[in-house]
Amino acid sequence: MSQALRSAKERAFQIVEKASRIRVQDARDNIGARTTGRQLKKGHNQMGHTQGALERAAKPPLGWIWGDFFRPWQRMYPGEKLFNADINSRREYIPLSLIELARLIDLGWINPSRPIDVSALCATQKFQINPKIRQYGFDLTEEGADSFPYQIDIEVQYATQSAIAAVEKAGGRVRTAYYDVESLEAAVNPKAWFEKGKVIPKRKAPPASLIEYYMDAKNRGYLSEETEMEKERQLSADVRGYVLPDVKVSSALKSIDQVFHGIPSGSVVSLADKKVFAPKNELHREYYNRQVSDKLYS
Amino acid sequence: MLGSTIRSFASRTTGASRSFFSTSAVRKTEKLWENPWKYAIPEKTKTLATVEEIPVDWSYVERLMPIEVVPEVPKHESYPTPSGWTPPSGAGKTHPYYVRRRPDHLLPLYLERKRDLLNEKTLDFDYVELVTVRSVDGDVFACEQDLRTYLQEQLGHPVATHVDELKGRIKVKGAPRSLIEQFFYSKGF
Amino acid sequence: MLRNWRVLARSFATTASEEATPKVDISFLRPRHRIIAAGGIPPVQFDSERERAARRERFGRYGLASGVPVEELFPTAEEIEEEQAIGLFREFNDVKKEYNELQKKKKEAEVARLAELEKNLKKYPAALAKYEASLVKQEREKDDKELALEKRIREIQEYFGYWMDPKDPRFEVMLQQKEAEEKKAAKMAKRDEIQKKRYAENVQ
Repeated sequence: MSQALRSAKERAFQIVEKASRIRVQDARDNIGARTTGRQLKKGHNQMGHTQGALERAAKPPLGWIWGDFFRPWQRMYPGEKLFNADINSRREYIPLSLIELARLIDLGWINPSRPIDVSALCATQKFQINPKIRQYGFDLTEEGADSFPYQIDIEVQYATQSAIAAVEKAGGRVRTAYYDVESLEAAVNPKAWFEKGKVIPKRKAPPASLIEYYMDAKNRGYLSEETEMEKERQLSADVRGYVLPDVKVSSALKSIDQVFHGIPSGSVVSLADKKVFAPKNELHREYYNRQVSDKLYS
Repeated sequence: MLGSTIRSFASRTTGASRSFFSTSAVRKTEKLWENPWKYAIPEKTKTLATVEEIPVDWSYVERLMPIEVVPEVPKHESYPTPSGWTPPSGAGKTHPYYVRRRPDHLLPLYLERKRDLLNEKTLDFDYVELVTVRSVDGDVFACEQDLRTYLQEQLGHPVATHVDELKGRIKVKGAPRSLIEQFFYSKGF
Repeated sequence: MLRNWRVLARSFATTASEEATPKVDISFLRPRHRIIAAGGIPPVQFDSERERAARRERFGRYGLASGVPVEELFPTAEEIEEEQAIGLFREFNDVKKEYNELQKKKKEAEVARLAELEKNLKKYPAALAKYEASLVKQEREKDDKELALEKRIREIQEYFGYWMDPKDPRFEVMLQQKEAEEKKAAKMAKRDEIQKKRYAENVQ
């Protein structure tokens, strides 16, 4: 390695290597590291409130922007019916593009031979879904749709038509499924859920505002009919001009009330004992068998 | 939990659930003043479920656990992979600089969004997207030069860069992160 | 300075087997924390640990060895009954039925609307012709009745020099005035004529 091509970091390291052992008295600030405060001539250097006064004073309300205390930002502007009337009931879906998914599969974070759902995606710890702030799951977007080669069985909460077409063109299967807040909490962090000793919840059906989306085969909703789904698959292929491959995904779909693959709802998983327990009496079985719909504004 | 009894489902009876006498232990008849709460509040019973173990394939539970260790990159037939990823090759060692990979096999490219650009018409600050290349060892200036020429050639417009030699960082404005990634992969880093 | 560390250091044992060879522990950890640090299950000591949620978490962490029966993790029969009595969540089948009925109604409404539009489309040429005819009639209607009125208005205008609304009461008054003046003029003209005739007769 020639002299001129070493970075400053490496040169500094060389100096430190050759230098003698550093003692306390050798440590001193670099030039300009510390500056003394500016002394104000007026008011015994007490211009402006002291820290103590600021700490003890009443704090302005949230949104106060140098004006009237009774007119914070959130009260200044009226709501608009078409603009933000429904701000408190809006749902957020975290975008997941096909190129991101391809990158995750390439690097081994996700196994394409296993079904991909919210739990599999959150197990990578690369996504943060917080059901408490009205985040309802993943939205499969079409960036990278042109060259998506993997045959996958993916279950998301929202999917654009192009993304669905790209996955089906590669021979995979897309389903959009609804997770209510409690089920999503369990799905997003199953380890924490099991360690709290909670029962795996029974996934509720979507509320009336969303049921239309999940019953439509165009969106590959999990509540729609299989025959309708086949028709839509063929229609997508015809419209976009690709041939539906013969290869079919063999793994079983989750049932409507299931949160995790292979583990029935209404059971308790004990990680320490590697055992799963479920109730066997009539009342509890019936309770975990009846399918309910989620609340309208959940 | 005064006045409540815990029962298993087998011993539950429909009518007697609100009785004042528990079935679990024999108690002497207490006077009203000795335990006033017992008579004031109706007795609550808690009938628990009967539970059995169900056989479950434990691999289904294990795959739910968060991945704590960076997984090994699976073998691909050809590189770059469908998402554009390339493993580091020996070609990187021939350059006067080196860009180290992150522990999860990715290049150290980070996005930053700063509200820095003054819009002269609205006199408000717009967002600027910058890409930072972090772990650059060796001659950082040569790296910046090569990167800048490549990007300008590919994009057709000038690209602004800033070098922090001490930290070994290059900040780029005006180029997408994927293109910068492409450059480093082509160099073999 | 810890001169009497030997006195202060205590020997702990996580299980009975370790009591035979006591280790000198200078960590000053409390017995409970010593057990937790060694990976054991601490005994239930605090009232907060006897709460339902805490017992559930204890089972979640330590499993069957925690001493919490699995039955406690599930909701009690009373809780289930209470939940069903509250009725916060509707049956999915009901919601589905409602949705299907709504869809059916929408479709029916659409079909009905289309049928209505078809019907109206068939009637359209006739209706258009009728409307066009009505437009033409309006032009001729004027000739029948209002021609006389217009004539009168024109006469007034000519005579007085400004427009007067026929509904105005002054209209009639002015009309009469005009007629009176006309009569007077006619009278005067007649008188003149008679005078002329007389003059003519006188001359001859």
